Amino acid sequence: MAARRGLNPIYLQDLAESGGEPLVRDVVRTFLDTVPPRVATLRAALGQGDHPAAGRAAHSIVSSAAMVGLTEVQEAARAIELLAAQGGPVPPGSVSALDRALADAPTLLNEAMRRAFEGTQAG
Amino acid sequence: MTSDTPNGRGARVVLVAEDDPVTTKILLHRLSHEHGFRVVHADDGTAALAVAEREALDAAILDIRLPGLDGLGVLARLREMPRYERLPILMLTSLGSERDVVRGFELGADDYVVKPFSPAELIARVRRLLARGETDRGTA
Repeated sequence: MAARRGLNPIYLQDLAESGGEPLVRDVVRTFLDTVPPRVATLRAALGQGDHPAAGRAAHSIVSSAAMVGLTEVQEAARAIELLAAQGGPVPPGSVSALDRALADAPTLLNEAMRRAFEGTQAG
Repeated sequence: MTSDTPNGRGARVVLVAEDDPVTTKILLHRLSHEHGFRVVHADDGTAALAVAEREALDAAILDIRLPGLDGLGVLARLREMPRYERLPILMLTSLGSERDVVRGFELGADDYVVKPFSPAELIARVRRLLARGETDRGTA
């Protein structure tokens, strides 16, 4: 399966082959449900100048995004994590880049799920 | 499901210390549903140590970047406990964290994987560590 910009489908495909549709849907739902509160935590930490807390929130988003193959979300959150680790500042543009990447996430994940399920049914 | 119930105590007990809910969900599914391990989960370092005190662990998977006491701190404390001196311990780390990996080995970690990891590879590594532990005990 070809990688689409912003998402490497191999991770959801691997999950679909092992755990089937219920696992993939559960993992994607977990991502979509749990990332917005972590972004809110990230924003609040940055607003308070708490770079260690911002770095932890960003790192957590990096991990989740990586495990579902959302490469642009992963890279945007990683950039914030690195800036926070250096004590900041974290420019607003970095958070905007994460917002933009996350806005595409539901569409990318739904498309990847559909293809992953087609692949397992065909296989 | 792959059967994995040695040592007369039922399923082997694996501690997963991980605060990321997505990674946790994937690990729990693969370890318990597919491979028959009993998984005990903690989402911070202090909770991980409490679980380790309460349970008889057969292996541990520790995220290095845990909130509070981090994974390296948990690793160091586990190695101080006589019953966990030889516990198979695998660390989860991120790209660009080579210093953490080196520190983990210095503190007694047996192996590590970098996120994003292949769950199948992680399971294979855990099973290899468990098998090696069985062999070591058999030849000791």
